[in-house]
Amino acid sequence: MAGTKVIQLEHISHSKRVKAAQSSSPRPTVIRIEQVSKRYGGGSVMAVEEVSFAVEKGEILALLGPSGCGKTTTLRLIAGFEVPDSGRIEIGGRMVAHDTIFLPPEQRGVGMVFQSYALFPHLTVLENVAFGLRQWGGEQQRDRIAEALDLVGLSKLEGRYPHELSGGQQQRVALARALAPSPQVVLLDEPFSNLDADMRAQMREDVRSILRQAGTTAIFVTHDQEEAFVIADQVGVLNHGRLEQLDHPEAIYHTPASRFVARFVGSADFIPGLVQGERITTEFGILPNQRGLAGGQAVEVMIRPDDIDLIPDQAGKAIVLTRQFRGADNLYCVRLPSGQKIHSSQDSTRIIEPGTLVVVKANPTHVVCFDINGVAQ
Amino acid sequence: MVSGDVRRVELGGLWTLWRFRAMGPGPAAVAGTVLIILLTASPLSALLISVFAGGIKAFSILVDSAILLLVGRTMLLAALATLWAMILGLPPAWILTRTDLPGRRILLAVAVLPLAIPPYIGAFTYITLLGPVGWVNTAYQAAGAGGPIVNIYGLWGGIFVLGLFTYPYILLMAGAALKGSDPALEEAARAVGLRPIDAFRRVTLPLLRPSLLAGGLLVFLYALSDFGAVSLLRVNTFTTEIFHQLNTRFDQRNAAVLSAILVLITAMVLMAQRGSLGRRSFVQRRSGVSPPTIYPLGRWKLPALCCTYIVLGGSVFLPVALLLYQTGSPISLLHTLIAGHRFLWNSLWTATVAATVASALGLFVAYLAQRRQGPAGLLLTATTQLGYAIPGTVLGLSLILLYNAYLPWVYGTAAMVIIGYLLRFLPQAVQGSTAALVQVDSSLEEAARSLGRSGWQALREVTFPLIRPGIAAGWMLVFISSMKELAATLLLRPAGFDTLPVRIWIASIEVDNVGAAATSLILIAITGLPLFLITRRDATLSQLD
Repeated sequence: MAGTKVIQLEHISHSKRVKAAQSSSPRPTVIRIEQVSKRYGGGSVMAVEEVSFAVEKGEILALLGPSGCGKTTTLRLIAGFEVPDSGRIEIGGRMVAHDTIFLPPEQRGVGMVFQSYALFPHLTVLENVAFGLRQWGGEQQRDRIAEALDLVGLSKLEGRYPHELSGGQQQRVALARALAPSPQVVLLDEPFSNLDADMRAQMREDVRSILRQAGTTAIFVTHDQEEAFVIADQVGVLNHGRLEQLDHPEAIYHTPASRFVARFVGSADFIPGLVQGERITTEFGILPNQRGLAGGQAVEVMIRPDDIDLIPDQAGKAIVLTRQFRGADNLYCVRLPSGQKIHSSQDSTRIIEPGTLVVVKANPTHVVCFDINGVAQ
Repeated sequence: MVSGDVRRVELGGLWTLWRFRAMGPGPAAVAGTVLIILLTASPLSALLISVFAGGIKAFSILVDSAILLLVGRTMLLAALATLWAMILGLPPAWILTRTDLPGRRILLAVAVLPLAIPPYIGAFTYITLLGPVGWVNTAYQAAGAGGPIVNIYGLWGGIFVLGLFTYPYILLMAGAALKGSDPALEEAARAVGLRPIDAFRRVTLPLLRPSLLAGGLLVFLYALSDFGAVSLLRVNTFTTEIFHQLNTRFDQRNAAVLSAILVLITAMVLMAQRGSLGRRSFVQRRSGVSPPTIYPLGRWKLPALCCTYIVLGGSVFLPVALLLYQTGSPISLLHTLIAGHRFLWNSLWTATVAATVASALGLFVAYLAQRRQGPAGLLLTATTQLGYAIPGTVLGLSLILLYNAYLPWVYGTAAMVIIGYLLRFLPQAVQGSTAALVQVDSSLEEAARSLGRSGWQALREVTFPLIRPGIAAGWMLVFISSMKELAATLLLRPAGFDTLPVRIWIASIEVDNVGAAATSLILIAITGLPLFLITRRDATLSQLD
């Protein structure tokens, strides 16, 4: 199980974790970032702080975080639009940024899909895709353009201008243009943020399958955890310029490395608990001490709404405060006897009126505990 | 990888790193910046040096009571001309943008045309009409009545003509604001119970304040700096006095002191404008807001139409008709054209060179200011804007002082005229390029970089094709302005180097009515066409001087 492997690695320092993940796979590393930092505003604002990670060939990495967390800066550092203050960046085994070395964007072999798509408005779809293929020969170039347009399913629209396309079509052209020169890696900056909600779900699927089909290594930046989970093989969560966790989507969700990650990727309540040998005692029952934490320790246990069950019971000590009907489920807010509030997600058809007394039962698969500093134990 | 290859990459990388770290200014950018700052800032410096070199004695002219009178008269002229332009410009602005007046699109395009008629041509036409021996007085006397009843000469005539030919600034600024205003604001006022007229007075009008102020400022500065119209209408203002001191009395020092005062007044007006806007926010409109309400005129259609046609009649139809009548026949126009082909050629080539050089420099300044961080862009934008604050007469004098003293071999050549145009109208070119560059997101250049283009290649293949229309619009604005420029040309031209405006001015002083009218028609035709084209494109017309 993905989660357990990570739990064992939890105490190992970050760079070691990256290496461990690498050794488990025979695929070559395409991007390697080591201890990269970048400040803005004359050094006063730390945009990216000692970030390290590696991406293997054909892998899709999502950089996830709130706005201003440094994810876009990280992307621009890789693309060569920003110069790192310190650290090393390697693309395809070639050092592109380190001390005195700085390769400009045009020499990095990196494809980029911009948030605004940045399609050249004075060029047709065909000319946009051909833009990066100047060095290619005539026939080879034509074949490659056809191939790229075919990949994104826009062969019929090659004569159109960008403004004559829908948002989704523009996105595909941007992707085709970035993929056409067969770059080492494709970088996507918030690729879906300019699309309508229904279009977004569709494009997620499409972009994932296009990237898979092309076998391209990709890094994309998003603030939407669902987007990251759906598309990426690995998700890196950034907060204040630091990489808080890098892992498989499942591990990020079920065993977050910090309270920040836990909250950012899904709703969660944090309930005080006390470690007593094999058990962790909390207000609503006893949870197993899965990770063998030392006894006598006060912790906060992460509980996601889908881990909580409510049983109406006149003798219950908890009371239902509110019910939010969300279509696919009902989200209940329940007050425990101590005054602590906790959320529970129940079936769409299961309706418990506010005011009902209930018994709260927790059955989490992963018991994740945090110390008072919000670091996973 | 071969070891030689690695070293090449590292050296290239170092170079790029230096460029990136230094936030851009490569040697070319630095050289260009220094050159432009020298070019734009040196004339004013020469003026100030000349003023202070005279010591205290130079300022004795200030004690002269005549100077106070001059200040008073000039300010009064500028203030009342601005008021008059607002009275003429605001009603058509509202009628042509917010009502269902038939043919308002065409009328709007026509209403801008007075900008193609320089005030000195306007002054000439109204002198023929309302001068002491003009048609009106002649007709009146022929009818057996007494002496002349109107006299266009003097302060009131100056105000009348200047306002009449500058109101398009108000119309354009207020029109743009009215067109862009959010209908929800007026609707909100109506919803809380205001009558339409109160909604206009209490919401729409206050929101027009910045555009009225901007338009009014343009008119005010124009009136301050105008030489052609006031000299023909015999109003003694700063510019005519400077010209008089320089050309008749050959007193450069007095002219310099007067110029310095005029620059000071202009600078204070500009600063007052900055201050008056305060912290109030006038930004009303975000994209995607519905277009403003169009009011049906109903029974007010006729008055509205009359109002519009009176303004257009006085500023476009009447002057043009008069010029046509005075020219007489196409034969006499052709005759003037052949006889005056040298003036035409002089105007065309100097304006073309000035517009081309200004466009190139303008693009450079705009690019530096928009795309690179650092002080160079800001400094450049500021110094190039100096041209706005310096009237043609003052600029002419400053350049004479500068080149006479330091670069005498340029003095007395046509290059002086071109430099004058360039400095005076560079802001328009900068504005044209800036407006276009703002529209081009820098991610387009980055996209080109990520697809294998160098910085220069990205600029050439992506940015430049996209901003070409803006550069072209800026070019045309500089061209038109240069074609029309009178005061600087009069002072800077080599002996015998006449341009169309110089010819018109001299002809109307010599009461060569046919020559002045025919030459005016040629000038209006040449400047009117590009102006019409730009209006259609909705470009930065407000920059036109």
